[in-house]
Amino acid sequence: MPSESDNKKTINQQKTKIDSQQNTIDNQDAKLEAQSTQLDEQASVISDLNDQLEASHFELPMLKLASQILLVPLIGAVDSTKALKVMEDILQNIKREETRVAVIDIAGIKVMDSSVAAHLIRIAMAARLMGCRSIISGISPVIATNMINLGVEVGSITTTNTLEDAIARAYETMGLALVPKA
Amino acid sequence: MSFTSLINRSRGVTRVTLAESDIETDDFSAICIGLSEQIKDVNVVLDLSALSGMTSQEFDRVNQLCHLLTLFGRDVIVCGIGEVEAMLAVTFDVLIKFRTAQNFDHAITQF
Repeated sequence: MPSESDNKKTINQQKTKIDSQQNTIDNQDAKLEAQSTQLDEQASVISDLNDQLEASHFELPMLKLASQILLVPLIGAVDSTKALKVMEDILQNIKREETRVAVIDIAGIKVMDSSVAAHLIRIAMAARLMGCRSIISGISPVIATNMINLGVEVGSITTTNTLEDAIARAYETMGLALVPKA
Repeated sequence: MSFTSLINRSRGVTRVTLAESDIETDDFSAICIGLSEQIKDVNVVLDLSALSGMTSQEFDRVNQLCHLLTLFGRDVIVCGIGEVEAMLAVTFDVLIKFRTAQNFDHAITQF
């Protein structure tokens, strides 16, 4: 029959063993947590890359209406990545073609929230800094109401209800006129 | 105060082509005053085409010069802003209150 001291010794050995196993489990937990964080970071990077890839595939039609007059119809959803691409493309066009008036038609934009509105205003302001006047057209009554409710200030940016009005303004700015055939 | 920015007068317009070294100097206030003393015409074109890779501080300085010239009663048009600079200026919220043009030829048609 084992003595009391032998029992204590066995218990202590088992305690030490359990502690050691607990430490191993803790270490594995920490490793798993670190791996989980790393996976989250990688998922985030992949998501960003996907966004960039999508934006790089995003074709932005740039229509030259007349010398130095550009029409950019925006269609679908515009997020911050797409908005940045739109801005870059428009600014590059202004430099390359010496564009003086850019008509940005937003009639095809599905949702107008404060972020999209802010992006549009930034695009117009950056274009103006390069000496190009921007006209934002296609502002429907619903979008206009949304913009008012969101407190969007368009400032000195010209806005029109229809694309037709915007084109007429653009021609007027360039000293041109659309006249009916006699 | 000596400065390296170029000042040209033609057709009643003073064109100031800002030099990188002038907006990088710590004594920019003196440069501003020196430049404004040299500008005799009311119509002024501030050409930024020689500047690239501008920092927020440099943007602030150009903005400051525009304000100073406006306060001195000059009609200022800023031209020669590149794509990258335009995006940065919007981000830093500078120069957006001033009249702008693509280049000098475009600017003089606006006076």
